[in-house]
Amino acid sequence: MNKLLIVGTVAFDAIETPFGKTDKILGGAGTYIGLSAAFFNLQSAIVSVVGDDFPQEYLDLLTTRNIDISGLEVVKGGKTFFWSGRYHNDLNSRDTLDTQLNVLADFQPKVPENYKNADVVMLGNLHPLVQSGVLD
Amino acid sequence: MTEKPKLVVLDTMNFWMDCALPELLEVIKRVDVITINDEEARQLSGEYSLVKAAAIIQAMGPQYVVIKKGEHGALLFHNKEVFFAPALPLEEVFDPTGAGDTFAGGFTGYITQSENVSFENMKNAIIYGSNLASFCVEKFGTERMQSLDKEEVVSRLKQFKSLTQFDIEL
Repeated sequence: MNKLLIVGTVAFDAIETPFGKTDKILGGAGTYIGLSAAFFNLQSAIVSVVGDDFPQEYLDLLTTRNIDISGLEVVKGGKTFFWSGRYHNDLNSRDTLDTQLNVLADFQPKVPENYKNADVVMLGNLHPLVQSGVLD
Repeated sequence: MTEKPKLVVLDTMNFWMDCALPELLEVIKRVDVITINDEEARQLSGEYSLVKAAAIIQAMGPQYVVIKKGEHGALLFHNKEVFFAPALPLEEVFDPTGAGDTFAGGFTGYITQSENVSFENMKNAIIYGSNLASFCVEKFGTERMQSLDKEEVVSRLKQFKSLTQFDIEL
């Protein structure tokens, strides 16, 4: 099977839309990319970082979709990246209410050895230096 | 990376254009495909026309530019060619969070599975991306992607096909 390497945030989101609001729920670019790519016949891995406040059930969700999380670093005593936003009525524009980088601030991506020959690399939204670092 | 990947795809947002533009331009040079939304394409290129914007962004490095237009679908540009994937008109859009990332996951997932990085195959990839993104927005967060099964994905692909097929003889 071909390999897809995904780099992107694994995070908590709190969202408000005209239809309701959520408390902290599972979010992050890497999470959404991984869950979507899981519908194809491939091997995938997410390179990202979370704090030890990140629930095991969310990690389990990724592994049950056959996503390799050996490159998902869990920082002891660290807090997971958090984003909160409110969508306008058109649902196309939004205001960011809060961004807490937390463990993402010092993130150094580590690509698992068996994904250094990945066929396709998806660099999800992150600091461009982190994105570049994965390609080196 | 120990081997050069067959395809590198980059997603970014206006935030990095505002606060890390030189670093962003450096990484853009190194990728094959960039996916950004229409407003970001305008900001990055300084052009209002998305056709002109895509040409300017291709000159920055990526051979392929995907411009996401939310509820209006996505455009794929390569050289002088362009392809359009619609977004399915949905009865309910609940939460757009993650739609662009879900699109990117569908796009790269399909390319990875099919081992084909041609423009023709990327057309199918943006349809798959749009298709999966159409589910993502139906519930809050990742909820819909968690309950989604492959049969629903195939069924909606058929809707996508009928949405764009017509029989005008030329």
